[in-house]
Amino acid sequence: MSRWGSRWGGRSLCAALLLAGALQAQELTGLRLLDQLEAKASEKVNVTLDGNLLQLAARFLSASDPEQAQVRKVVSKLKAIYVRAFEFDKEGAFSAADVDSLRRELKTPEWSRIVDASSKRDGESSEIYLHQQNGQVTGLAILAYGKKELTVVNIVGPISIEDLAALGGEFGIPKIERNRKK
Amino acid sequence: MSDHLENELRAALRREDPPEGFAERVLARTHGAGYRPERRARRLPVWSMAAAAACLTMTIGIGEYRERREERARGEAAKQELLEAMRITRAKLRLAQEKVRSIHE
Repeated sequence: MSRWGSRWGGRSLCAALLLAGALQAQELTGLRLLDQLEAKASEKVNVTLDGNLLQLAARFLSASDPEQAQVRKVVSKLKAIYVRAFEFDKEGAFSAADVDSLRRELKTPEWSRIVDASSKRDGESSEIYLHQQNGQVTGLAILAYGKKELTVVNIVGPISIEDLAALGGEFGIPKIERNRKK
Repeated sequence: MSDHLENELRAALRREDPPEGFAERVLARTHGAGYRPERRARRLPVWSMAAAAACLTMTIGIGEYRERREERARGEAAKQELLEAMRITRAKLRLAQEKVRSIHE
C-alpha cells in the first residue's frame, strides 16, 4: 500500500472508531444486563430496533395514519431504539444496583438529566436524560421504576424535543430548567 | 483367351483412390458454391426448452415472492415493536410530566 493509501486507511479507521465510539456512548450497554430479569417478570417488553431493522419498520408505517406518519418522520433520523419494560408480581425482583449500573453510564458529560421526579409515597421514580453533542440532542434515555416495575428506554440518534412532543398531542418532555448532572 | 479377358476386366475394375478433394468438389457442386461442410448439432425440441424456461421463471418468481413475503413479515413485526416502543416512551414521558406537575402544584 502506498503512503497516501495507508494515511487514508488510517484516517478512515480512526473516523470509523470515533463514530463507533460516539454511537456507543449513546447506547446503554447495561440494558443487556437487564435481560436477566426477564425470567422473574410477569410481563415484559423487549424491543431492540437498530440499523436496517429500524428503517425497515419505518417503511411499513402508514403515511395515511397521522400518528404513524409522525413516528416515521421522527424515526427516519434515528439509529436505534431499545426498550426494556418489566412488571413483576412481587416487590424486590430487581435491586437498586440494577438501576445504579445504568445510572453510572448516564454520568458522562454528554448525558444531562433533565427530569428527576420521584415519590417516596408510592416508591415510583422517573428520570429523563438527554445525550448532547455539539449542542444537538443525539440521544434520549428514560429510567422509570416502581416497586414492581422497571422500564428503560434508550433512543439513539438525533431527536428534538419538538419531535417527541409531536408524537402525541399532550405527550412531551416537561418544560423544566435543565439540571446538568455532575 | 479367357485369361486375357479376365486380366483386362480385372485391370479395368481395379480399386482406385479418388483424387484429392474429390468428395468436397462433388458436394460443392450439389449444394452450390457457398457450401461448407457442417457438423449436425443436437438440438432439443422447442417444447422442452420452453418448459425449462417456464420452470426457471417460476422458480425465480417463487423465490422472489417468498423473499418479499418474509421481508413483509419482518417489517410488520418490526413496525409493531416500533409502535410499542413509542407507546411506552410516550407513556413514561407523560408519567414524568404528571409527576413534575403534581410536585409543582
